[in-house]
Amino acid sequence: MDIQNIHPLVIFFAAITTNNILLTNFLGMCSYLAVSKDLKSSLGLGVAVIFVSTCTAPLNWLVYYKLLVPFGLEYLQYIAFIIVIAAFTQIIEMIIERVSTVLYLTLGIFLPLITVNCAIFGCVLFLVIRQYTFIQSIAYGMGAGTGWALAILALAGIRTRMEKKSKVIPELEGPGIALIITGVIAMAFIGFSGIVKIN
Amino acid sequence: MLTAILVICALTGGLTILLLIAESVFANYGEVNIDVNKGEKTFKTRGGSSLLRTLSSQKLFLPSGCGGRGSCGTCKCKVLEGGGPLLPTETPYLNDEERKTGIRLSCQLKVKNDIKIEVPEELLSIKEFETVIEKITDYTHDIKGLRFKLAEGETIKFRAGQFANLFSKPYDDVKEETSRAYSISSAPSDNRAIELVVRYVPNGMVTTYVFKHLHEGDRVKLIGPFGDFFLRDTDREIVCIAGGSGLAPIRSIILDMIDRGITNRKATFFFGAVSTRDLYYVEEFKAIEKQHPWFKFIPALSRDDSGHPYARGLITNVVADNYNDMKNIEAYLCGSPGMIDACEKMLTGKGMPKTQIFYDKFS
Amino acid sequence: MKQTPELDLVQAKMQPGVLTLKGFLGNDDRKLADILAADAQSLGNLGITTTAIAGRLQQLADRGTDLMEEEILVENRYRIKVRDDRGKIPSPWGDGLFEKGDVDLFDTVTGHSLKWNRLTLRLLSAHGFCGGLASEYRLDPQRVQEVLSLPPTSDN
Repeated sequence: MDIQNIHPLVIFFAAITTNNILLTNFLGMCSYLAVSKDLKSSLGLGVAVIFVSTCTAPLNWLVYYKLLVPFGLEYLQYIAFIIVIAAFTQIIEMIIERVSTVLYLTLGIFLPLITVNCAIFGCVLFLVIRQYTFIQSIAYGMGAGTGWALAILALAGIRTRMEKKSKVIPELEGPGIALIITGVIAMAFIGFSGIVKIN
Repeated sequence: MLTAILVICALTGGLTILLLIAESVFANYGEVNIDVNKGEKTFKTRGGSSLLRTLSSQKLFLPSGCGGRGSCGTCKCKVLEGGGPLLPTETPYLNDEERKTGIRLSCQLKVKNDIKIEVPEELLSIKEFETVIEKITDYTHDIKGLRFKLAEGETIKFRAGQFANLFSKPYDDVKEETSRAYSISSAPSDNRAIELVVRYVPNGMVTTYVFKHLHEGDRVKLIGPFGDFFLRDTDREIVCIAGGSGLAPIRSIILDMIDRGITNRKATFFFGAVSTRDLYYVEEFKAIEKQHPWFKFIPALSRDDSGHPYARGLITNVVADNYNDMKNIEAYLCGSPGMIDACEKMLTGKGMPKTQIFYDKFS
Repeated sequence: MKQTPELDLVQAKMQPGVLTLKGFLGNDDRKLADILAADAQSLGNLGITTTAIAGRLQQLADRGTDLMEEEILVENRYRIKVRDDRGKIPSPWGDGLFEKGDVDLFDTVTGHSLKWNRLTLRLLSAHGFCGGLASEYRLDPQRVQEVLSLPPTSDN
């Protein structure tokens, strides 16, 4: 099947489940491990990632297809994408801080973290490699962000529960057990394969 | 190649312009009024940066260990009004008591509107002074007195007994600006200048600079005042003990007592030295003694068998011989750690409570 | 012993004009690791420890403290003079601030002089650093032993 004909909704769901950017590509691990200690912060960061990836995916699609491709400068994509993501998060942070203190406290403070989040960057690279259309890239960006948010929420939920209920051997406390849990979640996500498939 | 450069320039340039526009539209909080310690210092400034940076741009330096990254928690300050809600980045450093009383982490708090804060009184007077050396006097073979004139219109507010940091400029092997603390010897009323007493330390980086490289008319940077060594407000009799350059803060305290008209407290100043060549300011203190019956000056020489008119022996012994019970006397000590330890031992042995013994730890 | 990046940093701070005017190394241009190794070797040969030396020197210094810089004859052998200086000086290893105040010792028996302060004693006892060759503050193991005649320790 020609990739351009896949329905955006399919791409959206595939990005959440079978092609989850965190659990299948293991992208965006640093903030995933660092912030997943606390459910509330995870939710904030998750929403921020959804928002930023949904916006930067089409933005970078435009930069790539309307600016770099016409000039034959595809090799500059890495620099261009990173600059766009960085500038975007900066501007959004300023706007949020000005508009709503509550929103800033729950979401805004995570934006600088996202600037250097590889999940966002990976998502942009995938949509270029897979040659998505503009609409598809929006769906993919949103899906990838949602998938990432889902994964961090799952991990945060498990970690907060485990803290109360079970005992981990000291050597594995913190990132150690978090990575093991992530592996288990990733295996569970394999169960989705066959439902939808892209790429 | 040219197109690559042009495209990347256009892209970054465009985004920069966008960022600048966003900043001027969204991050522009206009002019805000900062009020420190209920009107003691007020200033107008552009909002938008952290409280710590806003204050330091006004030369008001809150202590900060990490330089504003929110990882040390030392830049706390009390915000009375206009601080906005507590940020998640501050909470780990504040206890319940602090949260209730409005203590905030100044490096995290962004100044967006008029704000009223409270800082310790001393911080308000700590300033950086660009001074010119007015006079250098040789007091003894290894002690010099320096008088620094402040810039036109500037004054210093300090408590007699405090110290200031003197900065040396790079010289010889010393590649960087270096600073050391020296006690202020002039009176607080003499607020257009600062006098310091410096004793030569062999291999000392700043004292060598002072002794070998500084001349009258040179520009010198000073930061101060610092320290909690100053005359306490009581009615007790005072005994001051100093050696070497330790005379400086004691001189300031005595001159300040004269200025403030404190006559109800008896004060005796014991100055310890090895021989007559280590004595200085003797005439001045003798003159004060003559004019003010409450003051007495007793220099003590530990190893000088010439026919001098001063007390003989170690300073601790001389002080001990002059008093019986010291329970109701306050002591102000200034000198080397060894001298302070010895004096403290002697004073407590004579019944003086430790809470009545004050000295400058120079920390 | 190999010169580690940490020792490079320490050695950089020991240069003249960084922490003190003349630095800690005198005219010694060996790597710090080699200086430490050489002195550890001679200490081992003499059978004495840096802690024993530092302890003994501090004990002697204490006898001369609080005397308004007067020289004193200790144990009928050592002429000791302790300077009263205010202020503190940082260690090149970054492990604290130490009070100034040099101690000058003259041994009337051997005719040797030693010079130290709280910082150099700390460098000796905690880091095994005796000072660079020809540094004023060098506590050369051989010479120190001639002056102090410490009993050899049996624990190594």
